[in-house]
Amino acid sequence: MSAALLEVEGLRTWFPVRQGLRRRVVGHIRAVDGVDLTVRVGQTVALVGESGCGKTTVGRSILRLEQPQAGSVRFDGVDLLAQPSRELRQFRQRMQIVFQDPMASLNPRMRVRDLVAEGMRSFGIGGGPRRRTERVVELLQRVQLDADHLWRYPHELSGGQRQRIGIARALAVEPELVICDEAVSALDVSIQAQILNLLGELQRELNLAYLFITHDLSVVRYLADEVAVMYLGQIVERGPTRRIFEAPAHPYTQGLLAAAPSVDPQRRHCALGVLGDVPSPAAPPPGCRFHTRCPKTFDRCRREKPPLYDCASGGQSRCFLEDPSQPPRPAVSPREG
Amino acid sequence: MESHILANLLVLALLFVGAPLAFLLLRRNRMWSEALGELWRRRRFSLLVIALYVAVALLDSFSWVGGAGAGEDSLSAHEARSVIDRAFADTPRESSYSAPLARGSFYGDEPLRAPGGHWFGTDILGRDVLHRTLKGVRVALLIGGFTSAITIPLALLLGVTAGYFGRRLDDIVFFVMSTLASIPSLLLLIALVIVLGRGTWQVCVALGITSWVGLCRVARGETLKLRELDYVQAALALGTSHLRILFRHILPNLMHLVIVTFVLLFSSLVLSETILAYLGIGVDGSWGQMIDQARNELSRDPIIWWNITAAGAAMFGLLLAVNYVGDALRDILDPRTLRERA
Repeated sequence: MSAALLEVEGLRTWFPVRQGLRRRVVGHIRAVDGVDLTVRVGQTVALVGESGCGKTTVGRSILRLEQPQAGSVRFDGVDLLAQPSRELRQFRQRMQIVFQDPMASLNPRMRVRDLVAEGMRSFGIGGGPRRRTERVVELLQRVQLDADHLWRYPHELSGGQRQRIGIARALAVEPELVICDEAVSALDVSIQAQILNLLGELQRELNLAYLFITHDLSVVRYLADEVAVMYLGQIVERGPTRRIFEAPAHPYTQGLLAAAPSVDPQRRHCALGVLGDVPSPAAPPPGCRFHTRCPKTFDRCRREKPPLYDCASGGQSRCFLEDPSQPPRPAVSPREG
Repeated sequence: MESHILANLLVLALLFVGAPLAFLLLRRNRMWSEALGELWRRRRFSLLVIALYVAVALLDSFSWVGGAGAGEDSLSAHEARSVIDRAFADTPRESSYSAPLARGSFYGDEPLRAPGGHWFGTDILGRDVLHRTLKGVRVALLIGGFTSAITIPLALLLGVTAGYFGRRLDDIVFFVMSTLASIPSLLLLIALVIVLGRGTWQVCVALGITSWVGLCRVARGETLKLRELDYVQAALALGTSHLRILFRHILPNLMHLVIVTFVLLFSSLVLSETILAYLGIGVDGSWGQMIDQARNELSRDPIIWWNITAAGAAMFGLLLAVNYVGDALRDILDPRTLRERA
């Protein structure tokens, strides 16, 4: 197994909720509440979860676009959260981000050439302006665009083309890790496939590592080596992609997989749905955070916070059902979904 | 006193360096050249009217000493007179009021020095009203332009930095803005003019201090929005410096607001000066002063109407044209319509 490139431990990003005239902090939105993640060189890790579970905040905290309160983000062995911003800059070159909305992530007043060359300029890559333009053309070809697009504005491009520009911009600084924050979610399915293929090719050619943040399970299955499932700011299950899809251990993962649309008429209806709405991240439920929606809740779930237990089939799950010391209990008949 | 030479140099620099440079810059940027083309299609007449006003102001700013018409009295021989002044060399001062195109004076019907030569009549001091109206153009543009040159950079600097960096700075700027906005602006204007003294630049500074809040608020709000957009976040992740983000990503995306605000601000500034003149603290030679004088003239019998009519019409023409252009610009630069045309 290759060396760990990114190791996130105990990451906690809380957003203060202020109220009143004195703007006093009355509580926190616990967007990310103790997340551990490891991404190895050349590997793809998918971070999945419902909207609002904090997966985007994880990505932004890793890049220090948000300021986490606690935990560590080690990139190549160096803790980024402890670095002063001057030192942080050199690490920013080594990890990049591709955003969801390709229109919002490109400045409408800049041409493709300047958009892609922005990072090169700030890190002094590629020599003078002329050399940089040549490199931009190379990058455009790498993402299957051509030199004709060099002087266009974002609004003159299609959605897929814009996302390619976003990818080219990230690649321009020769990163080792690319965080794809819902990078294909805003695109048509056919374009999605193209972009995913492109990302796969680039990974093989450049030995990139991806942290793929998405809510789309079909994308995950296609692309990821490892999956981490997030719920209310915590990772509830992680393991090799195959294992997660074939034998999900955590009830939440089971629910997610059951809720995913399928073309197989045999499993059109969900057997084990996830019930109700997500509780507020400002006041997560005591005990297991998932117990309010879990079809398999029992007493212990309401009282204790489950740690991540190792699963017999590989990976980990934050559920007492995986606790070896938990006495077996009578099977609960699944509720009708 | 060589101030007229400085003014001449400024006019020449504006004409032969500033204007071509601005033109080239606008041509290079596709969005702006498209917007200008669209503006020309929609508001050709208004633009021509504004150009006419600007031309008059420029002609009035270019002056030299001596030449034809000099030495009429001992004073004007050493005074720098502009192109506009020279154009009125054959309409000398009368003793007092005369009606438009009159051959004799208004009171007593004594023969004028230039019978039928004063198209808009003369004022109480016998000065040609058309001449004064045309000289008012320069004052109006100076007030609008110079004040905007103070207001807009100030408002942008404070608004954008407050919105971008937030925290303490934002609190301070917002406090100053709210405080200023809570003082009746006319009272503040009067107080400032009294403190600074009368004169063109003093009035401009006073107007500038009272009028930056609006744009500042808009710029701050827009910056707050832009700061969170993905492309600014991406720029941060790409290691772009804050200064560069401000100049490459924030300011260009604020420019449409700045242009629209400038145009609307301009007309409100010219109007504000009229109010100041009415209160007796305006700029010398402005339309406001002419209108102020008309307070007495309108109560005379027979009424003396040409002074206020000329000043009012000149101001009306300028402000209407500017507002028409501003209105069209707002439509053209509206991001929603931009996207439609894109």
